[in-house]
Amino acid sequence: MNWDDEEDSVFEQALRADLPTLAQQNRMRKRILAAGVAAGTALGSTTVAAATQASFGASALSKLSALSWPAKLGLTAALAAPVAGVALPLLHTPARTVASVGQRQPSATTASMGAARKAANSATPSAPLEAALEAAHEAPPGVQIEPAVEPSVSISAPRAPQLAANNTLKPVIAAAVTTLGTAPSAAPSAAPSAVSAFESIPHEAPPSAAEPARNGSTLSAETQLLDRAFAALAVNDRATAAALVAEHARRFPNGLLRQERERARARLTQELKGE
Amino acid sequence: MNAGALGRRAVLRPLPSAEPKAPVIDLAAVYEAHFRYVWRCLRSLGVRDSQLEDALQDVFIVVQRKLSAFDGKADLRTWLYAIALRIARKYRDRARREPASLEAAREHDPELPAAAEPSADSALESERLALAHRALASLDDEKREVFVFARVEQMSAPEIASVLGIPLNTVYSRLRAARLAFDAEVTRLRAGTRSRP
Repeated sequence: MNWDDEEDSVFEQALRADLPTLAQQNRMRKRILAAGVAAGTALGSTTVAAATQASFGASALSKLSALSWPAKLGLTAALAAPVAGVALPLLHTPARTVASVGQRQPSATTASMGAARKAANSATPSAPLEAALEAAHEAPPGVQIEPAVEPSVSISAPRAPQLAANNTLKPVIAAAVTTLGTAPSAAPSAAPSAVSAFESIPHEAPPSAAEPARNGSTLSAETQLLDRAFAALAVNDRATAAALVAEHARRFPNGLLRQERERARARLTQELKGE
Repeated sequence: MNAGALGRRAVLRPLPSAEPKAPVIDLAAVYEAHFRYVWRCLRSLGVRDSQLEDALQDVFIVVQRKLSAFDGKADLRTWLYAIALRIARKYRDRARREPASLEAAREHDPELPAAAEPSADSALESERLALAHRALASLDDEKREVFVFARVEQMSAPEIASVLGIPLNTVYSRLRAARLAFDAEVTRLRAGTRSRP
């Protein structure tokens, strides 16, 4: 049926013309970036969205293990961002990132999702974030739209040197991830200010692959392995992908990302069948 | 503007591989191409203004999680609207269960006149829009969803049937009933507006 052959009332036209204003659009872009949804290909940018959702569960760590593959990958991508140039919008707004996480931890027991969102929205975005947003908004489609293997080209790449020079950001992000991984289910009822909470956290790098965590795995090491495996799959390098999956299985048989490993293995199998 | 066509052209790019693969889709591009229309869809489906941005964010969080599973066989816009529909239902249900939040949301209800209108033209458009939203709100959920997808989002009947999970004939009959109810409500509201002193 072709709807066009029917009479179109001015009221239906009014509904169709009901689109957000420019101010609303800009606000939503900022918000969605702050929430880590639309920055690049969601690597790294997923950190806040996934992590804040995880904070609503009884245990952040157990929730973390149940997160989707991109979300888990985001944690390590955030750690590696100063080198890789991924998730720069987030790294340029440490206050907002920290605020989102820091204010939501106590909300695991008390505050609602809406209250946490408002708290996050009330944070003033930094100038670099706004510049990145403008760049993202103004970039022509041909520049902005890139495949997943080239994340955030239009947003992140120009700012990579500036970020690399900033030695204070990585520890903050690392601290955020460390806190997420070790947050107790009963969060303190009186939340310290977002920034001070994270300033009190020792600025140490997360445990390396050579230092197995209490659960017998390290998320960053696992993520690096599987990140490379999925990247190899994306460029059809099955041999490398298979080797990396096997290495993950050998080093982390019961790792946090074992489900993702099985997904990678399933994709490998599917592609072999498709030949 | 045809968001679906733009989105399909803009965000799908095949992998540089000899074998046919599912296209790689950039979430940022999907967001930029579609978020205005998803916002409109959510609003038309009954998400309160005060919750629209929350709902929009929820939609794209779901999109972010599931985008890797999107194989490109279905229309991306239809896929997005299916997600938006579920989120809108959730928000509608929540508003109905929580009188306090409903009350708060009414502060931003589209049936209330906009705070500031700079010109007579925009005032007229705003009035029409408010009236259209009131008429939409008078429809039951089933009619409203079909009406919004068909008349506002300009989806085809098979697409609507796919998103709503209903038979094609039901789409047609439900839309017919929805349009009658919508027009009747618009007429009633306009008569009420004119009769005001």
